[in-house]
Amino acid sequence: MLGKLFKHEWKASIRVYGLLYILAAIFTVAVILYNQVFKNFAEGLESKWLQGILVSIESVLVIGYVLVLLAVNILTFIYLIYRFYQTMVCDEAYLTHTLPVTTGQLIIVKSVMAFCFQILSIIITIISILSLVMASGEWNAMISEFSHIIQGIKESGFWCGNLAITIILGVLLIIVSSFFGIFTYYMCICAGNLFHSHKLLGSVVVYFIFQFVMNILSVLLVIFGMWTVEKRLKHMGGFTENAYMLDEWISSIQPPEILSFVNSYLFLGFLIIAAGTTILFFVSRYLLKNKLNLA
Amino acid sequence: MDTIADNDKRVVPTTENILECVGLSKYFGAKHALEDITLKLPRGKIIGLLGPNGSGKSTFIKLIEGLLTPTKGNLLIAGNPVGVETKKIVAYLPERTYLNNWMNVEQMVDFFADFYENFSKEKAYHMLQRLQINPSDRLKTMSKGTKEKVQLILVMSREADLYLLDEPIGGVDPAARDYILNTIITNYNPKGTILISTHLITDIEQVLDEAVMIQQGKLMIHKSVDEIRAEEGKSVDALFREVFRC
Repeated sequence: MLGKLFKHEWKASIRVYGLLYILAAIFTVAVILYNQVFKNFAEGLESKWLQGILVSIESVLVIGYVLVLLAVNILTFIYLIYRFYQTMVCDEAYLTHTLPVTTGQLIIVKSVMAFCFQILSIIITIISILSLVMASGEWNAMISEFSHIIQGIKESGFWCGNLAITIILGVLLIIVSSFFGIFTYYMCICAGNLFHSHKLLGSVVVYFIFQFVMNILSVLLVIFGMWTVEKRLKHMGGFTENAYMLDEWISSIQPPEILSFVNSYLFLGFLIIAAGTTILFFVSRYLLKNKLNLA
Repeated sequence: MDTIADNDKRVVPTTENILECVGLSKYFGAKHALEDITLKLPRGKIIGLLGPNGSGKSTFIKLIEGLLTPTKGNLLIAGNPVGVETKKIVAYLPERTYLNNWMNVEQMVDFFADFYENFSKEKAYHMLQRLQINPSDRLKTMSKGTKEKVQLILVMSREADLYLLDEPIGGVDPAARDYILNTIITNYNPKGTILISTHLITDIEQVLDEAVMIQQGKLMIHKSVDEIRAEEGKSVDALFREVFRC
């Protein structure tokens, strides 16, 4: 059943996201074509007035291109929330909740597809930008700059096994944070469904309350984190209250040690957000399974 | 032209109950939409769920389908609590349009065939052909009445154990009512039970085996149609008018 749910969720979503991606492709090609064909032509024109018009067209194209790329990512985010709302608590929910699948399966499929389309939108954006870079002939310069950065990292001593762990933890943190965001909205929509009327308003209210609580928790976590950093630095034997001596001491620490220190907090962050994501999933599932209210 | 009675092809029902509920109640805040419903519905019957507007008919049906959760009481379908297993054997037709508007009819048929093992594509396309509905037509281009017919066809193309039809003939003209009732009678699983919610008694009385009457969320009467006629000496419609007199 999961496969079928994924198939139908893909079909329902790609018809909207696909349009955005096609629009992004059109604007990318338009900007590239303009730069390849018209720009040199415009620079060779004697008529300043005509030159001005062509430059204006270029400006409009570039502004349009930037807006389209922004729209691709913003509308991806908005549509994933809208799709869950429409299919889980509005009229289409009458079809969704009569399917012989579990509530957990429905939520998992929607969240995984939402994440996939978020990633796809980012990939489309990166491909579009890289296409412009290649078309403008700056590709080699970009690769060269990238190589300099890698060389700099190697020379600094940070190019070690712990860096790979840092990158892996960073990617995991991004993934789990993305799901945390998705489930936050899902939970708020499910909680809004508990209201007898004004369910959408209820979802918004729940969202703001949740964000308020999360902000307080975040501050407490940061304070706790800073306290543990101070304790650990003291334990490592180098912490002083003198910022200059602290700076000197930090400079004496080997890069792998620094990365190991950072990785411990990245891992802790990953665990905390993963736990939060899991809690949000189960809350959403509980609300839809036991408190569904399609009146 | 065949009448609805001519197309009636019910088999002798078994004694096993398809639905059993005890003390089923649903409250929306202070409003008691359903109060202490205790009921057993046998297999192989056509049962009318009758009551005026706002009596709790749709609430009861939604509880059976799992679109609402009970405040109190128990509900079993074929011996199972409402869940994945019951949704496999229950076919539900809501009173509103609930299909994906962007899909065409063929895609909706494939959707139902994908998720319901007891769905028959052949039956669905046969009924669509009779109505001259083009499978390539998108639902959003159809009138409300045609969409409702498509919904009905999709539901009746399933060999379900329990059909829940919420106001299938409300808001349609008399000719369409006859078509809908005829479609229901000629296409349902003969071993299954149909629970039709309506307040238009006259149109469906001739096909009903049993009548369940609800008023203000409470169960008033649950009897066979024959019992009503024998004991009350009147038709179900007449009894309805008497019970629910304003």
